[in-house]
Amino acid sequence: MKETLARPADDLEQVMDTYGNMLFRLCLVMLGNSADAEDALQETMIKYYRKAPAFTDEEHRKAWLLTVAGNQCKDMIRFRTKRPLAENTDIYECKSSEGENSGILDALMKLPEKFRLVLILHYVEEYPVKDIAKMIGKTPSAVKMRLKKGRKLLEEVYRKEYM
Amino acid sequence: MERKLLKEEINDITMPGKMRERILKNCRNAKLEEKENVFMDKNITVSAEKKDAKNNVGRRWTRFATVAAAVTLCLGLGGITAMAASGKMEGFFADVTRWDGAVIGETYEQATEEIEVSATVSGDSIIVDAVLLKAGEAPYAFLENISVQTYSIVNEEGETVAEGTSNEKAGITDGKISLKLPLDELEGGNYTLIITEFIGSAKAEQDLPIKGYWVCEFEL
Repeated sequence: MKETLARPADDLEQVMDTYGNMLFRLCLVMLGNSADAEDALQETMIKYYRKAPAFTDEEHRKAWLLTVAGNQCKDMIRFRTKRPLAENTDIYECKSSEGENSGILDALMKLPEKFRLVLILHYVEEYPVKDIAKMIGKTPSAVKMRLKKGRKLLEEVYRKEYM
Repeated sequence: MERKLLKEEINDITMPGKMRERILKNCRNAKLEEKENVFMDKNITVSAEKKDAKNNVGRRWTRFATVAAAVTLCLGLGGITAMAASGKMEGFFADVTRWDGAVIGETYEQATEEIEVSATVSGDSIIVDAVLLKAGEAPYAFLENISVQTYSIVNEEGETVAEGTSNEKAGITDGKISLKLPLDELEGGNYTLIITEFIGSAKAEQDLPIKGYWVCEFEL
């Protein structure tokens, strides 16, 4: 029998410290501006203390948070298609180092959101295809297809505009 | 290379410190609001329950009042109906009021069933024999004399050929009275005597009109 983690109602600060940056990155890349990313992250945290289940381990908690944040971003993007929001301008303002802009983030932002999500989950958070499939509610083959197409598109955009 | 680049680029993004504080503050506020809402919901539920209880008491009283009103109405109507029904069968006393509303006497209403009347012709008079069926009861028990107050004679065609009052009083003997009514210039034939009022009297007492509808046939 698996030991379950307690569902702390007052561990928001700890969760923010552990997963805040990860979730913020995901939201920022998905939504393209820090204001929306802040809203999405806030909603995710509110859902966390209201609806979070009893987690079996930290990986479970992390996956749950990523899934909720991803869904929140999708909802906001859906809403955005009806009401256009601000342009993706301030993503570089949130970078900690002031190195040369490689353009990869810009290229990523130009992809459709369904490719962005799987690319981040796979290449940044390093989740296997099987887990991503569970997180986004698709089949592993569909995730593989998205990864394949996403990579191709990213390469095309990157090559076209930044090389 | 591309994979490494993407991860590095994205991991280079960090959440601004102020944003972290804002999110935590808003989450705490949301939590607090939620608790307050739960508390308010509980209070609302409790007050609603109290209100419901009060309403139930009020509703109960309203229902009770409705039932009471219905019962009163039924009893009242029943009483009136009973009075009317009994009035047809038996007499009852009613106040006689003057023009200015002062009560100056009383009448005995609906005595039709309490006095048996028959009429025969004797010479130039009609002999009216009346039997008081409740001679031992009020108002007959305290009456000494009776006279016919209002009468009419109707012929076979239904025409009223005579009507009037009689001042002749007859004493009551064993509940029986025999009165004479004048019979003027009537042709031979069958007639109907209709008496609508007798007057009962006693010494030192106010006359008592006794009302009813008595019909007797006689032949000339």
